[in-house]
Amino acid sequence: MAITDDQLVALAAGGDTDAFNQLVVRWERPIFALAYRVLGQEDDARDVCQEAFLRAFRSIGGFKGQAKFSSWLYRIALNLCRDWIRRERRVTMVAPPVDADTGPLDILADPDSYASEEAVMRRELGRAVERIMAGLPEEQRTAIVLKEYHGLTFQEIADLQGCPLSTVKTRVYQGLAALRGHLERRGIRPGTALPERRPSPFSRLTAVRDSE
Amino acid sequence: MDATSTCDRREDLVAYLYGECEAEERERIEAHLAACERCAAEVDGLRSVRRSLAAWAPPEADLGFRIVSDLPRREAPWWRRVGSRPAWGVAAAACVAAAFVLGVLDVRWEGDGVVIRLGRAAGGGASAEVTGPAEVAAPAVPVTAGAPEAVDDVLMRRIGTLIEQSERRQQQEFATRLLALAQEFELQRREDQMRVQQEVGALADYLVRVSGP
Repeated sequence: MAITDDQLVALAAGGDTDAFNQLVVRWERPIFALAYRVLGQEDDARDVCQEAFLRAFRSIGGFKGQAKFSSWLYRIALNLCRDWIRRERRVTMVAPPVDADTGPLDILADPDSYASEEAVMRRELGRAVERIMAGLPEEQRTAIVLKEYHGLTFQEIADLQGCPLSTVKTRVYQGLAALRGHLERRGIRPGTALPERRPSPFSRLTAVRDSE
Repeated sequence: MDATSTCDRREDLVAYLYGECEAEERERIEAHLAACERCAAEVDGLRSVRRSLAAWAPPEADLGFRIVSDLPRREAPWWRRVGSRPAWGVAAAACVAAAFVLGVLDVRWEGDGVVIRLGRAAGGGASAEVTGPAEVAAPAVPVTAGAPEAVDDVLMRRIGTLIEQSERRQQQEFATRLLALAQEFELQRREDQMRVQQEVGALADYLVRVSGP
């Protein structure tokens, strides 16, 4: 039977560094992904992730298991993200203007012509989502990220954001509605996640590559 | 519940969208969606956004943070260590040194740490011990106030006892304070060390950022 987070936490609180490192291995990807999606910068996300684990390590003795370890870690990481955003905002507004590019996604102009059409479209769509998400208010973005990519319940998000349950649902709704508006202006209509498929000159090539 | 109130409650639709509502609530919303085109289109639109969100993946970052403990400690020479101490810590150390010089304190190394004894006189002197990490030893104080062969023997003995008690209290208090000071000193030292580490880290970050493109 696999050792649980709680057991590792107990060992780590007793000074077992290896046990703590096992927790790091388990949670570094989700925490990095969380920080990346909230901050939108890879280097900053890596710093926040590292700092979150350092802080968790230093205060693991004071963690009494009143919450799940992951919730506790999420809280540390989100607080760091918030500090980070506040600091960045003092220096300059970093979020790019969302409406700067409202034309349809330029899918076939991708120079990487050997990637499959599907993968190219997905990546373009991912970039579009990233740009639009960066333009949302931080609370809406964080609520959507926690719900959509980390599968937290609305109640867990409310606890992390320190707001009523209904506020979280409103944040998620407003964020999704804003995303929908932007995506539709970029040629992605509701009901079809991706723009209409055009026959690709590389589709045969893709089929051959896939069969290998 | 009538149709209009469902149309107005977007929170309910969001809970439904993520499958986070009770069975009864879900049936109610499904019945409403079958009847209300506007809400059905809304839910379809939100589902479509969720499919688009799935396309956003974080970059494949090279992570692999590990906490490393038991770093080999490199102790600076003592004069440097004194220099980096907070001023009050140095002052406290100076007090101890002064007390030692004045002959009030007897400091020596014993098995498990430094022993600070109040009252240096080896034989009959009163002593309070501050031993190693955390304990204040109760002083065993022999009476030094001599019992005089005076007329009022009882009175003198009483005065002697009072003086002795007073002395003992003062010494205990002093020992306790000294110990508290030592503990506080150690805490402060750790905190300073941590702060220095953090500041060095922040400086490194800053330098990397400044030197970057």
